[in-house]
Order: sequence, then C-alpha cells, then structure tokens
Amino acid sequence: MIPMSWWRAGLVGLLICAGLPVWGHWSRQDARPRCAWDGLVIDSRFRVVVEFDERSSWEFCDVRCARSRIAGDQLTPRVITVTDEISGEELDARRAVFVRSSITTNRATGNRWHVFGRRADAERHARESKGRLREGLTHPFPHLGESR
Amino acid sequence: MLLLGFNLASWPVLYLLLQSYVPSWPEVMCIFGVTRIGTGSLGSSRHLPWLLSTLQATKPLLVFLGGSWFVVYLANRGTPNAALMRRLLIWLLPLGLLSVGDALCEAAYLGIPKQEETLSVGCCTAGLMDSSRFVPQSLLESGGRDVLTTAFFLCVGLLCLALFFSIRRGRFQRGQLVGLLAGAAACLGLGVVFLVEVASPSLLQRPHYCPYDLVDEVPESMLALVLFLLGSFSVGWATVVHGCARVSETRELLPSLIGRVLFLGLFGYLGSMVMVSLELAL
Repeated sequence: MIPMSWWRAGLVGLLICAGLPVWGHWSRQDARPRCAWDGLVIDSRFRVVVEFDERSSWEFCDVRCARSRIAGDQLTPRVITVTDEISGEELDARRAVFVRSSITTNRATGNRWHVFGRRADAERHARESKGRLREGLTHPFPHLGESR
Repeated sequence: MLLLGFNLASWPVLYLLLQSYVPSWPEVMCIFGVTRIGTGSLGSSRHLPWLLSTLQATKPLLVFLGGSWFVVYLANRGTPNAALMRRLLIWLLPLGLLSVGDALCEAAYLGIPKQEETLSVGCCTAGLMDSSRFVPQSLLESGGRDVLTTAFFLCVGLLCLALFFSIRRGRFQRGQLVGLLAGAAACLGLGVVFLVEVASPSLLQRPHYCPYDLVDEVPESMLALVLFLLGSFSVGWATVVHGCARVSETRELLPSLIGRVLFLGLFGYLGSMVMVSLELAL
C-alpha cells in the first residue's frame, strides 16, 4: 500500500505544478513584442500591424509574415499599418509604396518586401537593388485594393 | 548508477546544445531549423539529420531502459540472497551497447562540420533557397484539433482513473499491467500529436507547430512534458518489474514496489494535466 505521506506529498507537488504556469504567464507579461507569425522579436523599422476590428490587432516583423498569416488563416483585415523604411513613420498600407527587391531584410524569414512612404524613395531603391514596384494586382495586400 | 545519471542528464543537455546552435545560421529560428541543417547537402553534413533523429530516439530509450534496470535493482535489494543479480547483469548488456551507440552518434554529430554544400552557388542561390524548410508544418486540418484535444484529455483521464484504482487495490496481475501499458502507449501517441498540433501553437500564441520553441519561450511547459513522460515510463517500468523480477523471494515486496512506481506515474500524469490545462486556459 502507498503510505499516506506519499499522497500528501503528491498533493503538494500538484499544487506546485498548478502554480508554475501562473508564475510563467505572469513573468512573460513584460516581454518584448514578438511577431504573430514566427515569434521573432519585432524590428521597429519593418513593423506591420494588422487590425481586424476595433479590438483585435496583430503585429508582425515584416510584410512577408503578415501576408503568410493573412493567407494561412484566410482573414480579411480592416486596416494594415506599415512602416516607412526611410523615416520610420507608420502609414496606412493603402498609401504606402511597396518594392520587392533582391535585398533581404531578415534572413530568418527571407522577407524581400520593402515599404516606402514616398514614391521617389521606392523608385530609387528599386533601381539600386534590382527590384520592382508592386502595385495593383501585385500589391502585397490586394484585399485592401477596393479603397486604395 | 553513474551511467544512468549520465544518460538522464544527456537528454536535456542535447536540447540545450541544439538551442545553442540556433544563432549559428541566420535562416534558423528554432531547434526545428537546426534539425534540418544538412538536408539535401552533398558534403558530410548530409549525415547530420539522421544522426540527430537517431539521438532523439536513443535518449528516451536509454532513460526507459535505465529506469527499468533501476526498478529491478530496487527489487533485488529487498531480497536476502540477491536473487535478481544475474538478470540485472544481463540487463546491463543492451543498456551498455545502446549507450555506446548513442555516444558514437553524438560524437559524430558534434564532429561533423555543420556547413551545407549544395549544387547552387551562383547569384540565384537566394531565390532557389527554400527557407520554408526551416518552418514546421501542421499535420491536421483545423477541425481535427478539437477532436484531438477531447480525445487526449479523455484518454489520460481514464488512464489516471485506472491507475488510481489499481494502486488502491494493491494487487497487480499481468493482464492488468499490460492493459495499463497499452493505455499509456495510446496516451503517449496522442500526446505527441497534441503537443505539436494544439499545445505548441496555443502556448506560443501563433500558428507555429513546433514544440522545440517551447524550450525557449515557455520553459515551464517542459516540466509538464517531463511529468507526462514520467507517467508513461512509470507504467512501463511497473510492467517490466512485474515481468522480470517475479521470483519467490520478491513475491512479498513486489506489489508494494509496483504500487509505488504506478503512484509516480499517476502523479506524473496528473501534474502534467494540471499544468497543460492551466497553460491553455491562461
């Protein structure tokens, strides 16, 4: 037979087991923002925020991750905010100019999408890095096209 | 005893080693990526994936075999004439051979340069390189996850009840233990799929089907995993000791020993379920 002390010790062990997830969850509250697709720490120069409604939004480390998540989950975002690589300013994806070039922003994700607030900057980047402006049907977020 | 301790310690150390390799390649995000290094390579690094797969199989096997030996050793210690000594020595043979094989695989894995050599080395390499090979993929459709979660909790719950009543009864028969072992094997299989398909994306809060990421991002979940394995292994150890250590001298002490080993298993399953439930709920 199992001694009563073993059952008591087991109960204490279970209580400790119950406390660990709570402690772990609490200790991760102040973690750095991570990408909602691959979990990488977000570099503010390439940050993309996708809003689905007033209350829910996801942050991604770059355009490629945002596209992967939207396509994978077949979601329809309300607003997509991207970051201008030159100024670091956030702007609506409908106003941004996108370039797909040979320069990779993140080797882990392989992202080659570049975001610019000014058309002149985008054209210069495309010229210098063998890229192309992506507009119309080749826009990275074509579902936002109706109001673009 | 020293060999058992080393075998036990080398299991988590392997994953800590793999985690330490992650920053070595810019394309790699987690241990899953490290396990894929060498795939499709033409150089000696082509052996890395299978060496790592072998190591990931031998580590738990060594812990199980070592634990089985230890439980039989405990039974032997309770006998006046060391009636199980011969069986213990025979048991050491496969354990030792597997340990040597595991050590050789690990030495080879550490020794092989981890540089991939591929046919494509021109300017188009960046375009041809498929970085998605470093990203784990889902095995199930989204609808199957609810069914899987229900099946997993139901299966483990029933096994816990069976373990509890077996321990309370205090008498153990071969058929009963084999039944418990079959239940533990089913739970282990379901648990692996549940870990990849449900627990990992839920705990990581993104559609990433990679339990390796939990080592770095949700480290306390590793304890839940260890407790679950303790549960599975304990049922196996109880079955082994019932089959291998049943001689006239151990007849009196065996039920108590099996009961205690099964108690460890019950504690492991319950602790794991408590942790997983809370982790998913938070």
